[in-house]
Amino acid sequence: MQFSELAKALAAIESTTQRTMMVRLLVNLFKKLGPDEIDKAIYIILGDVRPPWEGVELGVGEKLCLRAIARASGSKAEELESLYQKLGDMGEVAKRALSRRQASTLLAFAQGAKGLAVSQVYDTLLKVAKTSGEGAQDLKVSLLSSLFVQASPEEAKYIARFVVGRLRLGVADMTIIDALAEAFGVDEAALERAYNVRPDLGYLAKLVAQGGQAALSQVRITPGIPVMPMLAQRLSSAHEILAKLGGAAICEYKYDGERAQIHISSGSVSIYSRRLENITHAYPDVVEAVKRAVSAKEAVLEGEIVAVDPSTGDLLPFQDLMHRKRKHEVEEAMREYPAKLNLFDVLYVDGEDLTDKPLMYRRLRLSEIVKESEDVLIAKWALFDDEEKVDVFFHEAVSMGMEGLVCKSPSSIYEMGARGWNWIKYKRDYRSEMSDTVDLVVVGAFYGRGKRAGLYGAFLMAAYDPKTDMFYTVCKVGSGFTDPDLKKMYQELEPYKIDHKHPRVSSRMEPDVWFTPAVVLEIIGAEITLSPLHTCCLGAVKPDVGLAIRFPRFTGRYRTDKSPEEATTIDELLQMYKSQKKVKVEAGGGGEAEAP
Amino acid sequence: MAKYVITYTDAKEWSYILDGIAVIVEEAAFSLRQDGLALRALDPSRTAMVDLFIPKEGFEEYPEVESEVKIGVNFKDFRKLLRRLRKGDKISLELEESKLRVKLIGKSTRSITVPLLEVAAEELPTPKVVYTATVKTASDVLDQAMKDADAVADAVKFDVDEEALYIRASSDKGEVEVKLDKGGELVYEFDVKEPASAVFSLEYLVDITSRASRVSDIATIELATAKPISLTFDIPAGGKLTYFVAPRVE
Repeated sequence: MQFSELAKALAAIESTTQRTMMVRLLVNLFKKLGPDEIDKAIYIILGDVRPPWEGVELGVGEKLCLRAIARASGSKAEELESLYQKLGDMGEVAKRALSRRQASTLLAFAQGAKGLAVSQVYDTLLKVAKTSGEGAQDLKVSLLSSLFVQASPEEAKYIARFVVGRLRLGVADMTIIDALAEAFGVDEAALERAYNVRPDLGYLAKLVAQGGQAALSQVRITPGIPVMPMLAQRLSSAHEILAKLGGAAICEYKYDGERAQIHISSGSVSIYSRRLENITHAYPDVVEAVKRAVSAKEAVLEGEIVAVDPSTGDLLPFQDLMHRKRKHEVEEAMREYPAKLNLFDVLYVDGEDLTDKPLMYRRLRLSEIVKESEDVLIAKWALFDDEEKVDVFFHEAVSMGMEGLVCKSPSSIYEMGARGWNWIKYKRDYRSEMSDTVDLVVVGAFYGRGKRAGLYGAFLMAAYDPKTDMFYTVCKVGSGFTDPDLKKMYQELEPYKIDHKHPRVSSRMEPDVWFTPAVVLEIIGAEITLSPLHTCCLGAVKPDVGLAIRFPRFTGRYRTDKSPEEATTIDELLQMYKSQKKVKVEAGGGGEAEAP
Repeated sequence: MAKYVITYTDAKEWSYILDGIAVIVEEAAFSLRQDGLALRALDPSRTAMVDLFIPKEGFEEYPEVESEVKIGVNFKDFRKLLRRLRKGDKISLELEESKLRVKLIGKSTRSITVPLLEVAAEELPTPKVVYTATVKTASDVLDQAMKDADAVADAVKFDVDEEALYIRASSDKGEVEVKLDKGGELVYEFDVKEPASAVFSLEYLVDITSRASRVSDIATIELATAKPISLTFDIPAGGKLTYFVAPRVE
């Protein structure tokens, strides 16, 4: 097909306000395209030379595009730049520049000279994308200008918009699916299913254009090609969740990290985000860890990548992973925010498609192929049929810095691209905010790692109860200590070291070292939450659950002026818990967006 | 890849030919064909084309070629070496693997190795024009005419009738007219079937004529109304260097 015909269709689509009309225009277009060019036309319509997960980008900014238009039209680049400033549309700039070009092209005089073909435009754009290395910019400009030179002003408009990523046709993947189904007489549901397994519309269009619906049956999960992830509904009570899931649920920690689809094929590891972007480059450490931990030759795994504090091993909030998104900062971010992978599902292992196997079986296969290590873990999980136990597990997860739980039906298959009731997020509607600092007593410590080796890396902190004259633990804190702080703490605590838990201390945690309660530190946290891991106010709010400080941090103030009995009391903490400011938890905040 | 060796007797002339190509493109691919060496390239804006052919008889040494071999080069790299050539030098090109060794052979032998480029193997058709006028003149006359025109304007008009070829340029800076009469002293051939008229940007013409006039003393101008101009320069050792420039839209 001539590109001019595609450009006409694009113009029509652009001016349509109705979706049904848009589908009709696409159907007509698709019927006219041959199987060897329909994929190319679709990539152009969608605005990306390749499916986004391949990470192929043109690498042409506005400056380069203007240079190419200038060269092709014989205009001055500065002149076009100010025209672009004024119009704000690269397409209009290209159209105007080319319609006033002064010389005709020689090719116009060559016999048999044809206009641009769709394939020719696409192949050149792909070549632009694949050009890299020294002198790439100049070559990209040459390639683009060769397109502009051959294009009519109207064609150039669409090429230029595509190049700068502003085609703005508003054609969604689903619209293309509808049109393809109609154009080739294919069942829409079948096409959508294939799309969830291989979200590459160019590929699928070519397939149905050649082989119709029958060809769709050959679309299978393939290592190296991401599938649409299964999504979860959301509820905020264990009661409702168990009811929905038929009385029993596999409950997993919902880590505050980045959901990752991990593909292992022929010795290499690729990582895709929830939106199927290739994010491998951001996680070289995860790639290496996966190679060591996973025994399968080929596999598709799902997990949550979390950032950890290298000296305490504590989980860090999702935002800290964002430091890895800038390419030149990955090295540094790897040192400051090392990543851990918590695997929770497996969809494919060495030729075995597991997507239609029950979750319980997938979990089993997962533990078979993964040898847990420091960096690659299996997400913490448990099977429950009692809502109170689900709640205790939930509070534990939240106090440990998780967002909550994901509760799943043990017998459910992996439904690619579906947001059904087989997976349910258990998150709070509200979180609290801790507004004031507390003064807590050091009752135990954990040895440090890495930089903190030979010192204590984290401390077990407790509040005082004057009624029983006991100290009850409320958090484990490792953040906020400078290197000198840690040295000082080690020395200060030396005289109080004992080889057993002090009789006035109540704890469910087992630190490496116990102390006689003596040293008081000022601590702040994100909020006070319920937790089964700590003994402070145990059972006061809910049975078998105490209070904990979430994301605790040392403020830097040693309360040497305070004796341990002058520390914050458990009653004060209970009061603080009850009067905390409540903040609505945004739907989909953090790593997992709700849409689409 | 087999090793191919091409030797051209006059390195100086070779360097003029390369200069003539470099006016149009920075890099391009020579085709090593059975019958000789060819190169065809369009400038990036596709308004000018160079078309070179030197038959194998034009070379002192030319290899047996089974199927066409492409030699993609960057002329800037090439010319760096050629600046150092001396009178009487020969030039030889040795093609091996992905490298091209260029040797200047004279009293001493100097050589550089340049990387071969992947140049898009685009099949370019030459403009198909039925020319109604052919004028052969001294290439220096044409070159001077272009330089005169360039002094006042950025475009030049070629007008030819049964009597003469007029080369005109005008702007508020002034007017230039060069007239080449049929039967004039430096007009070697004058064949006009139909009068013709066309306007061309001087952007390429000035450089083409100034470089190509060193390759050949004689230039053949072919014209048709509102069609590309064709300029041909015969290479003394055999072969042709031809240019096409698209007309301006008026």
